[in-house]
Amino acid sequence: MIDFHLDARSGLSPYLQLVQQVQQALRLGLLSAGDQLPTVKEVVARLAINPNTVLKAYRELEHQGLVSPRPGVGTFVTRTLTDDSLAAHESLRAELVAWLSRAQRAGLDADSIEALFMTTFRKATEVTP
Amino acid sequence: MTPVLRTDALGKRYGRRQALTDVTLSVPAGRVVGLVGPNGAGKSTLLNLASGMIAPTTGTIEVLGSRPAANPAQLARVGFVAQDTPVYPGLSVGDHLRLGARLNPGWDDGLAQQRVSQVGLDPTQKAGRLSGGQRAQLALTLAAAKRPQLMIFDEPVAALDPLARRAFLQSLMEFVAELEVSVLLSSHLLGDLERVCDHLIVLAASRTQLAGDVEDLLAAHYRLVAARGDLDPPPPGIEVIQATHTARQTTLIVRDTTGTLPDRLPAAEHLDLEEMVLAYLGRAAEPAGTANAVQPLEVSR
Amino acid sequence: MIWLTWRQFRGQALVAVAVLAALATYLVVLGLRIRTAYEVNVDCAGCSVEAAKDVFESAYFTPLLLTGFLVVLVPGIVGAFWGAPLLAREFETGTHRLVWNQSVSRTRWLAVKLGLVTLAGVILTGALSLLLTWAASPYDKLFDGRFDPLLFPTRNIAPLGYAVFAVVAGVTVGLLVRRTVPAMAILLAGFVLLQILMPTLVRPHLQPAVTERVAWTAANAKGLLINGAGEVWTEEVAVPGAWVLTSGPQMLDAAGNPASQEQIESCPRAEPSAHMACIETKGFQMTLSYQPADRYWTFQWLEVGIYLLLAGLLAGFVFWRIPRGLN
Repeated sequence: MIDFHLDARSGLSPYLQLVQQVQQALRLGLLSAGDQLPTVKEVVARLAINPNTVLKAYRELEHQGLVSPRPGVGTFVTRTLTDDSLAAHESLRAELVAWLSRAQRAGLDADSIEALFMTTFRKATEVTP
Repeated sequence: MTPVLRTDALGKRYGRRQALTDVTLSVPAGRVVGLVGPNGAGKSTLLNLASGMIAPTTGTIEVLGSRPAANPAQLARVGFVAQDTPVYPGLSVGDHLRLGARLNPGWDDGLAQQRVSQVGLDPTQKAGRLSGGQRAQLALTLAAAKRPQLMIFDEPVAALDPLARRAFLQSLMEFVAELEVSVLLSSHLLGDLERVCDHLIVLAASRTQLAGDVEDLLAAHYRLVAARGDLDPPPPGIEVIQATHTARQTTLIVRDTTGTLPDRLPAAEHLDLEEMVLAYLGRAAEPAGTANAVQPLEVSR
Repeated sequence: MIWLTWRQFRGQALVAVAVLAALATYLVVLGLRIRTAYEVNVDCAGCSVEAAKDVFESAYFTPLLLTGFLVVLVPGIVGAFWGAPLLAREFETGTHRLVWNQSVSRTRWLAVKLGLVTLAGVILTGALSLLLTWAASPYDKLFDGRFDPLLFPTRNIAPLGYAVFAVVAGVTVGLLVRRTVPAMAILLAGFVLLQILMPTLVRPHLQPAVTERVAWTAANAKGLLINGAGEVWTEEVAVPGAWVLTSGPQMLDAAGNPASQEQIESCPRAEPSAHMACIETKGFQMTLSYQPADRYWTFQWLEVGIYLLLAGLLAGFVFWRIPRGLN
């Protein structure tokens, strides 16, 4: 079962963090169809957050067609996001590692690498949403 | 649905000191409401008025549609935990549960017993020997087991260490998930409440500065950054909350009153809760006459 | 609510029961001894009342006086240790904010607390007063002095009024001061002051005193004093069972004029009783103010009534104030 966490410095609202963590777990194959998500009470008891935040995140996931609630039982994953993309992960990761070592050789420190990556990433995702 | 809290031009004066001025609010049911503001802003006054511990000097206040503490039925509908979570030092934890059972017709003893054992309280322990965190858990259990529709907490975590603070909020949120209860809690630290509340009231210098559902508030507030002079005068349909200038640049924290700001100014950025609240507290502290009365909000996480 | 009050109060109640048991035992033993002494010294053929009085005075005056003080003091102690902390301790520790948010109105909370503690105070004081009244009754019958300001507040029903008043006054002071120890001190000081003011300034005037000119006799006056100006004064006056308000009135001659030294000295110097007997024959008089013996119960009821009235006024204030919250 997925274990949620919250990062107060991420700038993302707690509900979006929960949604993204489920999506990521689905992409990485940590969750698959039929798996149960933690109950609202369990998440609330663990993270000390507002139950409405959890409900909202689960509703959003339901709206995206990723999970469906079974009244009285819990919320279950209905589909995964692993499809074809998981196969591409390995080669992409290798390219990224190669790029990182090039950047280090060029004299960039960790902060500069992260800044360069994030600005490029933002610009790229803005152009092609 | 009846608002859990409705005030109209509410004011409270202690002798010559005006603790609360012209507060008009309507808080819908089903929310976890955070009441935030610096020390001395009037938070305790507002909560004590809502629980009927004190009576207003001017204006009116209604809790769940009735005058606070008007009768036993109204008392049964509201669970109030006062600042410093008072308990009877000479009575044991078990005695406190018996007290709750005898003084509240709707007492849920199963819930109370289960909570007490879940948080590891020894029923034979004298309440005077409990730690701050344990006392807070006992007070929370007492307030919740009477099965109220609204629970009010005055600075519940201020005196607690981070671990006890977390444990308290976890317990509180479990109750909210389980009991369908509205919650109103105050803190001078926004960080304490940020995760748990979905409705916010910012109080400073005895007045409300901001109130509303967190989501709506965040959606309506933006940061505008531009070269000095470009935003002078500011675009129509916005309220400037805070303006800071450097030699070349102007930063405005604004509230969009039209809902169309992002279309008109694509560069507008959303704020996080803390920046938004700080902007309002900064504005409240500005007028020369009151500047000394208001301490800046402590921000910590 | 009764459970909570009892739970908070039971420690003090147990102390009270222990104290009461000890005092009751003492008073019963004392009462039985006094009864035996009465049979031996008074209910006997040819016994002298004067001799019996001497025996009683030396044996029982001090124990009865001290237990009498105790009976007057107990309401003050009850007021200070039970009444004053009843609200003050709640305010001091903030626990009123816990209990006022249970599903019980503040009026009921106050009524139960005040009612039970007042009742306990009345029972404690009443039991002591009753036992002392019983134990001392042969002594009081012999001396006929129960109207005396020192004995009046220690017998019969007067202490009940003090108990009710002291508890309610303690609660009131606690509400106003909101701190336990100062409230206890203020209550004790106020109660003692009132117990001094009552017999000196108030009680003598509850009914118009009887003022009349009576014959000076060796029985009602213990002696006489002659001052430097040659005026003659009675040393001390007693009227059986009555409360004499005039202390040491001036002696008047048969014509009603102030008696002179010469008139007294017309009796030859002799041994005291013969000398007094001679003076008695000269027809001296004095003007006395007193509350007659048959008013004793009227005064007991008036005393209780006054204290209950004061307690009622204070209770009214407390019951008016509490539901309005503490601002």
